[in-house]
Amino acid sequence: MIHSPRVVERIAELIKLAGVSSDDKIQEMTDHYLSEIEDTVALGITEQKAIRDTYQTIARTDLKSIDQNEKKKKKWIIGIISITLLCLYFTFQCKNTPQLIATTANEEFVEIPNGWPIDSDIDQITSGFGLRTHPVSNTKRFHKGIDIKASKGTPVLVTGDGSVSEAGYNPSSGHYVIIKHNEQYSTRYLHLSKVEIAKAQTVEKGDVIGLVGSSGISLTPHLHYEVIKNDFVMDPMEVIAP
Amino acid sequence: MDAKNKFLSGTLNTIVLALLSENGRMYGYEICQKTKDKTDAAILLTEGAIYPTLHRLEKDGLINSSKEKVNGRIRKYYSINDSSIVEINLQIDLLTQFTGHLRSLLKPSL
Repeated sequence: MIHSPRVVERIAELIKLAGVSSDDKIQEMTDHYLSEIEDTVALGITEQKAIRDTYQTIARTDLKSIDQNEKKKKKWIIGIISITLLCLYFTFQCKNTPQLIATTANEEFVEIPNGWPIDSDIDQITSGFGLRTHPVSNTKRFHKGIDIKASKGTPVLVTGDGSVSEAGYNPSSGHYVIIKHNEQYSTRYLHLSKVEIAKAQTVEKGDVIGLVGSSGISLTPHLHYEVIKNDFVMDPMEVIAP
Repeated sequence: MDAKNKFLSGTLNTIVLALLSENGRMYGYEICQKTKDKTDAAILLTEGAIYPTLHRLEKDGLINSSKEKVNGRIRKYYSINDSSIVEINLQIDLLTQFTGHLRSLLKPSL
């Protein structure tokens, strides 16, 4: 009777109800309680009573601690997955780390113009990106790029592959060049003393497109450099490779 | 948790290792019964205490397990992992020494 499938099944069922979920552990606990019944019967107690007493013992016992290791493991796995997802989220949020970013539309990778726009050792930024007092008008204005001080005639280098979308002159920008790199990025180079490329010409990163000057509204020779992403200016320092 | 259980919680690992060292291989119920017999039922190991201890010791590599068919069902036997015998003996010695010190502190006359 002790070993009838009905008794064995009932014991396994009660163990499960007491909080054990792994099959391996249910099997081990079933052996435990069947051993207990066998011992009690050996002491002279009827099988029926021994079985009933053990049923009651299991029903009264909390066996959750036996399963604890497994639950802890599950919590760990959930924790690791959450941290990984958070890291991925922040990587894509952070603008200055990735050299390549995925466009949501077609999952293609877009190259960011990340070069330094001047061929000179004295790379000196005299005015950063953002709100500043304009050196000529003396009023607060938003500065759409960075100003890099350099002597007249210093070669100006294109910061990424692309093609010339504009090369010309106007009274405020002086001689200037605009390069379209891809669907997302364009760069602008202002106040040049000389433009050395023509509209529609293709350029490779590092090509000389002109020379530093002080044309347009400018006090001293310098390069004004802008990065435009999706029609909005952004801080070039965020994309220039260190 | 009563006082006896509080004492047990820190020593259960070592008790189980000592029983396995002495008896070769044992299964969970057997360990409970052996403890009960040896201590005149002063120490009763519950299922909720003994099995997590056995599983932890196995995971830590101190003991091994094997399965065998007994009375038409599967029984899981535990035994000492031979490569951990030095560490196990050290644990047993430390606890034996510790209980000696405890005795001299609690009942200095003995």
